[in-house]
Amino acid sequence: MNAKKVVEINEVTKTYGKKNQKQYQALKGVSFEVESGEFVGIMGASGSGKTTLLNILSTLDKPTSGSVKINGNDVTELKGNQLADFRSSEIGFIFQDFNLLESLTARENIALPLSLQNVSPKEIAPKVESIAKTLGIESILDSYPTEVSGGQKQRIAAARALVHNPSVLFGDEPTGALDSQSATELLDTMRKLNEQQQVSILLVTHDPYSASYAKRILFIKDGQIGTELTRGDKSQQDFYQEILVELGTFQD
Amino acid sequence: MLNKLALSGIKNRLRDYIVLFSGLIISSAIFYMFMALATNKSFITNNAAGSNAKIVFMFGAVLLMIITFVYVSYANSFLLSMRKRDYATFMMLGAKGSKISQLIFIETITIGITATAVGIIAGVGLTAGVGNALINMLGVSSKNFSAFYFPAIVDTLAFFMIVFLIASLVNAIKMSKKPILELLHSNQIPNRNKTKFSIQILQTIIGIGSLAVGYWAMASIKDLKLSALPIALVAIVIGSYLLFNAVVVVIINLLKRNLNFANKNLRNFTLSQINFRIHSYTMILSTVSILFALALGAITVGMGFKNEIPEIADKGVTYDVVTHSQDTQTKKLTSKLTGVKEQVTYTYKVAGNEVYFINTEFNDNPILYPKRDSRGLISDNKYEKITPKSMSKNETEYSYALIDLINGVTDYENTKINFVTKTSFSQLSGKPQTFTTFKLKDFQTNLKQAKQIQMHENKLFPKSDLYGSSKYDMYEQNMGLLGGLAFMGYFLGLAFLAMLASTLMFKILAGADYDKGRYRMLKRMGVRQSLLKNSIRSELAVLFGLPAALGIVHVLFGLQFFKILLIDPYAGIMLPFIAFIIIYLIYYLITVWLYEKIVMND
Repeated sequence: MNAKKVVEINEVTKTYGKKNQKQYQALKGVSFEVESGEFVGIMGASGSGKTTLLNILSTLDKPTSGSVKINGNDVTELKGNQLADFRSSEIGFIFQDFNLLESLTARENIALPLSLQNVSPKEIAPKVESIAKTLGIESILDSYPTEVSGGQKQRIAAARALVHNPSVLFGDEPTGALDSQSATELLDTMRKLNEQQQVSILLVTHDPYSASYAKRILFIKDGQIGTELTRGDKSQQDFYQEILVELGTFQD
Repeated sequence: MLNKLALSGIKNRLRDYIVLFSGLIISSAIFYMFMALATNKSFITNNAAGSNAKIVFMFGAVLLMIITFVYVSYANSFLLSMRKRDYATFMMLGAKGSKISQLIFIETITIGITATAVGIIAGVGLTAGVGNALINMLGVSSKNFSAFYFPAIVDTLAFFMIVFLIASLVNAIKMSKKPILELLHSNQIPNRNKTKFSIQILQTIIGIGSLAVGYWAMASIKDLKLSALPIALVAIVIGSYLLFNAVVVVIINLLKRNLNFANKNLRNFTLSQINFRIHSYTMILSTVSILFALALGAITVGMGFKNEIPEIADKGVTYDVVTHSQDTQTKKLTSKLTGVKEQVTYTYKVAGNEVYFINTEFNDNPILYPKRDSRGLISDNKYEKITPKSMSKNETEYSYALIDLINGVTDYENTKINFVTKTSFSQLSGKPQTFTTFKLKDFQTNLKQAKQIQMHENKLFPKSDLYGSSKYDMYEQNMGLLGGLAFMGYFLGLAFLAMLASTLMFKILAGADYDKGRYRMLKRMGVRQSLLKNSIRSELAVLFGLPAALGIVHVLFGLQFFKILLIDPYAGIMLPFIAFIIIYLIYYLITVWLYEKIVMND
């Protein structure tokens, strides 16, 4: 397997607050790598710094020090339009609250990243159809987000995040607003995407069940990466148990 | 505690409140300004055609009240949209519905009273400035015009108090009736347009049809008389509404279906945003288009009246200046006239009921007798020549025209005009008198000289029969009448424009809070800042542009209406249109700026 690295982050720190004011260090030197085709979970409690980490990874925020490389590009050096273009071509997002544009139909929502890159309509249509098929949402393509269920919304969001073949898919608690069945369905789909289409996924969550879908889990606490778990050949059930045990000791 | 909460709410979002506040101040200032004129009876009767002016002002006042009411309710919904979340939070913390209602009431009324008070002060200043500028520009008498007019202050205060009272009651009821969750999420749900395509087409046809009826009614004012006005008003209101409700939606959907167009950058998003809005905007867009037309129409007609003052004077009297038995002062004054095309002196003697002219003088330079149209205006420089020979053709009329020019004869019917040779003229008894006619290239530029000559003539012949027949007198009379109408046109036009543009502005800004999330989302997806701004600008441009375009069409047809009052209502139409569009554009730019500040700020 090609061991190309899609995410490399090195000694990243993030400090909030101005110099002469009360400062708070959210990240205290975080380093890790995600290889192409990996499914990595990042776990941590509220306030552990995982949201800050995801914001920096997804180029929505900048680190105070350290470097962040995505697909070999140092994103900390990008600005303005370059940054926007990078985001729209290299990164896919799924958020807890779906973040769909409710004035657009599912089809239009999914097509948006391609329209932004000025892909011709002829090419857009088959791409949207194919990703919709992968995610099982062909039948609702012409519905508006308000007319479909939460699970379907998140699938639309996932389709939108993947339609332009980004280097990496970031998920920020994507199952957070879903019922357990929809959540399982979404996670199964994500696993399928990862295994069959080699989509690199980085999933941030505090839910052990979601995390158990990952191949590798990084635990973050007080702005630092603590333990790391690898699933290897273990069954998902065993891995889940291992995560629970780890969480139990990790919280102390 | 409650007061403190309400006031701290204002403090926290000072910037948004400044927008709201300045809008309300402008509206109350304009209202005051209008009332200062409309309720000042002595000023109106002094300037315009008496009872007619009163009707026009009353009509204007009613329109202004309606738009102010609409404006304040939009400003209020903007206020409510800002505070909704805070109120919902208070409720979640356990505040009772009645407490919240009280809170809203206090807040709305506080803002209302403060804004109205500041607005009236601003209005006094504005009235002094704008009013006097207009008065100078139009040369209307400023007698009885005062910026500070107590009854207007009372009217403005009373009106705004009532409006705010209603608004705060509505706000309070709205808030306390709705469940908290709905408050947090209202307006975010798009109303998907489920109207069938065939029904939309039908609406389109009816819409265009009723506009056609409205326009036809205005053009046929001569046949329909007074009933043209209500027919036009109803038909155009219905037409505008349906046009926005159906036509725009149909066009947007057609654009969206054209994938080559729609699937580029953010176009699809922009189109959907507009589509999404159009439904809740139909009412306001059609109102704005009609108000736009009224405002622009008022200014255009006002300008038309003003422009026609010299034209009517020009076409009413043949000679620009006529002097009688010139003395040295007259000569001095007439020498100052510029662009004299023709200057002829005629000699005459009056003996009892007989008037004698010298025939050679008339053969050399016949006096011109104008052909007049149905309104008494000289049509296209068509003149008949009065000579000793032609005199018999139309003896009565010609002799009246000549008597008009001479001094000392009042009995038109029994006076006889005679043309004699120079020798027999000198043998006649009586003192020879003269009158001198001037034709000028441009009367307007000689206004000052003409006035001085007229005053000198009045001094020379204090008891003469000449008064009221000179071009200058005609000009001055028209100035009083038409100038007053023009003044009103400008005033109403400016007031409407300011109000309607800010109404639209508030309607848009009230929705901005809900759009924040959408733009944040797009930013996260990697949409360039420039594309986002483009999208915002085009969306707002459509929302501003559509009613303006329809409004302009309304005006172009509506001017037909004024054919009965004006020689050419379409003359000089560009100036008011351009001025109007520039002011409107400024409002658009301010709205874009504020909107961008609200949605892009994070």
